[in-house]
Amino acid sequence: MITTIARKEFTEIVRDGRFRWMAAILLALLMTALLSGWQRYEGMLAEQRAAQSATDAQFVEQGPKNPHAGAHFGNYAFKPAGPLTFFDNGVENYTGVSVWMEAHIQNPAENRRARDRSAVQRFGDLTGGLILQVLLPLMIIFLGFTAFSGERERGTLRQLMSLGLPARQLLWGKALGIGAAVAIVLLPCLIIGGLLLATLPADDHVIDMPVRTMLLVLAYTAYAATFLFLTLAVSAIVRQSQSALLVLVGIWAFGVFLAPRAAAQFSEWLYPTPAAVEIQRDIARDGAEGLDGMSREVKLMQARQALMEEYQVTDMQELPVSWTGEMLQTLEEIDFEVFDHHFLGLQDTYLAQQRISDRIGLIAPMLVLRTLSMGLSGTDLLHHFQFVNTAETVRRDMVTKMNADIKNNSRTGQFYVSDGTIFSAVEEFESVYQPPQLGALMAEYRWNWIVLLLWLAGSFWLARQAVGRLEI
Amino acid sequence: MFRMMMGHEIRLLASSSALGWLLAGIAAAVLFAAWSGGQTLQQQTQAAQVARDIEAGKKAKLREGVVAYEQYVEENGLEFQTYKAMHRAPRPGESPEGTSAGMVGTDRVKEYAVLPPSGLAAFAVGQSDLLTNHIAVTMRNLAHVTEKSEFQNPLHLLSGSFDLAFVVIYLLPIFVLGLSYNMLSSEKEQGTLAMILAHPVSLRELMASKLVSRIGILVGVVLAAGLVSLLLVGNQLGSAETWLRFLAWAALTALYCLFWFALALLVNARGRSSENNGITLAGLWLLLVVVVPTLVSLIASIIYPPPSRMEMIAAGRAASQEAEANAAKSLDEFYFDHLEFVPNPEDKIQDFFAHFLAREQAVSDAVAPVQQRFREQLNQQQQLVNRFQFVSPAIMMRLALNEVSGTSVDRYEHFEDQVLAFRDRWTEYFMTRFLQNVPLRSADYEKFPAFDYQPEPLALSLARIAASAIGLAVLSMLLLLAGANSLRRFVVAASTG
Repeated sequence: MITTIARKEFTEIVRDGRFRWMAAILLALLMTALLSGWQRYEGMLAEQRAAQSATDAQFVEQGPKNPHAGAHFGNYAFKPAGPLTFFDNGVENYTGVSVWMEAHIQNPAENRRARDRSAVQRFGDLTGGLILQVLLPLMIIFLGFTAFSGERERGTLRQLMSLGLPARQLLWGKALGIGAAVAIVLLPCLIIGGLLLATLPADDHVIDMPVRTMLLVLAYTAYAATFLFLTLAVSAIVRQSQSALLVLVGIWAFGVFLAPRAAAQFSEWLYPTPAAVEIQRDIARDGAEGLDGMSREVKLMQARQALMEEYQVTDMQELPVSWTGEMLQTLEEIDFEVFDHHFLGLQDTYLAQQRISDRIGLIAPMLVLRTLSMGLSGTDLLHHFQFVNTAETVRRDMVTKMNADIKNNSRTGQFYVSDGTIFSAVEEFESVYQPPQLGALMAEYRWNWIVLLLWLAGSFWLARQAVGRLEI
Repeated sequence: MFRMMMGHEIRLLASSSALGWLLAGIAAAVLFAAWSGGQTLQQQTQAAQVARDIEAGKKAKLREGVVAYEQYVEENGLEFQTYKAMHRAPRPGESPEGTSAGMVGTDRVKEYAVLPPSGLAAFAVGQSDLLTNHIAVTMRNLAHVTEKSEFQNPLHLLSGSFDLAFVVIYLLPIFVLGLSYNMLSSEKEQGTLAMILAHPVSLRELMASKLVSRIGILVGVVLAAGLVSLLLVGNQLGSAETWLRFLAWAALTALYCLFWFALALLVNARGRSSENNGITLAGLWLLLVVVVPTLVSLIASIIYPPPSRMEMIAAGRAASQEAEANAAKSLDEFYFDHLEFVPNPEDKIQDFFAHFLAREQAVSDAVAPVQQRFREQLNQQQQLVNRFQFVSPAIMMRLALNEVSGTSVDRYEHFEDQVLAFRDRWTEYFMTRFLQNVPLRSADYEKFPAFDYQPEPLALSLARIAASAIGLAVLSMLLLLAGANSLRRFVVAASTG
């Protein structure tokens, strides 16, 4: 019986001219989004690889130079894009794409792509993610809002009910019919997306792509099903089709347009982001005065004392190593701690803000889905943190090696010029960077899965209740 | 007669509880947006103030050192010297850093160039969250000066602001359509239309009364809420410019409402069911407010792709490396660029610092043309968007509201031009003294170049809005005409025969 209802619903929808229009538009938009997204991803990848290898070469080929001067010249890390960026580019336009790794300073990521785009980009980027998060629910609403109210208005609900069907069958029949109509639009896109991903060369960076893709499909299916059951529930509860439409469009507009902005504002209010100059000021202060209350001067004096004790000398000039190298390293290590305190603190603020937004997902499911989708596509905050933090690890490795070179190969007070081979001893960003582990990512986002499933279960329950109490 | 019908309409609208909720909803949204826009604005203004305070503190401290040294020199009858770079802090009696024009101008003191917010800045955050309102001007290279940005959460930049522009562009049409999607179809469905038209009124008069009453109520409430917002979060309320900006905002908002009402009229005039009208209007809303703008944005970035910032960095570094490899040559070039300031070629300062400045100069020279290309591509994109804006009222509104609030790219570019010109002044002041080896004295600290923002004439801003406003007005008129025209063919009652 379920299949009969489903088939009837499906046929009715597919024969409707409005559906054909909607399906054609959605399909065209999705195809445009996926193909232009793929092109964008390939462009990003080529750009990043070219720039990274150029600056790596510039760093390595500095020639004979004082290692500390080399560290001041430093190197850049450029943000690598994962393949699923083509589907959902998340915060990618709004994060810096380059980090300057130089001596003494942890620089924030700079050069946001958004700066080079006109003001219309603030309407959003046409990506697969945007279409599925924003347009797909509306299409489901359009297809389903008359499911019960329409039958009631046409007088066919009486006939339908006279069949004596259990509510469960009625609901599933309707749901499957509408679901099938939606699926014929989405399946071609899924296939195209899969084919695009299949063209990737198999290397480490794409190893978990199949799992990530599957989880994406799962999450979006849960989201779409939520809207489907919600639509059916409202259609069964509200007597008039036009009122059902109003209610549903209201829910949709609230969840998709209002909630994300309100959530951003609200979380900014709860956890204000400090101004860049404030953080820089605090870093300078904490570096000089010490997070532990011990000033930089005292720490330097202790380090010098320790070094002289280690080599059991009483005069700096007798040291077999260079105090300059040791001093530079001591300064760096004081700062490492300060940078961690402030920049990891800033990342914690961002995450706290994101969690607030995800909590608001309890009343707007797009919020939890959006974070999940970005996470799986590798374009969320956590992937950005991984980029920034890896760059910092590479920077620390670089300055530590430079300072050790000075310490071990020169004497205090001597101006040391290395032969330049030391520059190739530094780890390259490209070979160190690993995207976050999927497991860790999903652990961070377990709340999002729970809320998404709660929505699905809740909307199903509501629909089930509403259909069970259907009044003619 | 018309007045009587209006009276009826208004009484009818007033008696429906939905209207009250609708109006309360929109007023609440406007006020929340005002609060939220005001909060963002306050954050930005405060950041600029903190930046200036920090630099003022650093400057005062450097100056103190110079004053102390001046006293020491005077008391001991010594010669006032310029600071010499060394690996330790200068001892009392030695010239402090603050006397070195090169050090001070390079980054020991930064002058923050600040773009003051317009009176209506809280109404549309616009591009102000991406383009910073305070830029530290130093003698460092060009990329170093202009690339700094604020630390906002990228997620929030992606979500966008809950400002008045959002409420007007996205939510207001939903309220308009909620109020008007069935204004004619429901009369027909309830069977009241034939009754009304049995009176000596035409269908057009009826629709005119419906439209005017609805527009009057909704626009009235929105503009009143806007006025309250202005009083709450507006700046410079005493200035006529702020009120002119507000008037422009009010006019644009009213026109935008008119567009959506006209669209509802046209859809109603087709004579389909309320349900069909609802679905059509919701679809059109989605198309015009979401789909078309994202498509225009995509097209603009495909036709005029921005150059690669990553590539620019690599180019800047290549230049820096080249300058370093040919240190003598680049130093010569550097002096050649500043020949007029070098008292005589034998006095060239051959120290680390001159090399550093020479390298910075080389980087600026390499980066400048690329930055120019960024600017050009962005302008091309913007022009394309300006031409395409007429396909969507939402784009027209976005551009116009950013302009009205002074948060448009154009205003920020105008600011950046002034910053770059100021950077030249700053460089000239310190570079001249550095090259001539003239020490800075405490009295000089009052004479450092100061940034003085020259606002764009308001007329220029208004001229940029004109295209969008005219576009909106023409589109609305065309829709109204088309609607009036199709009303002629409207079938009031299906023939039963």
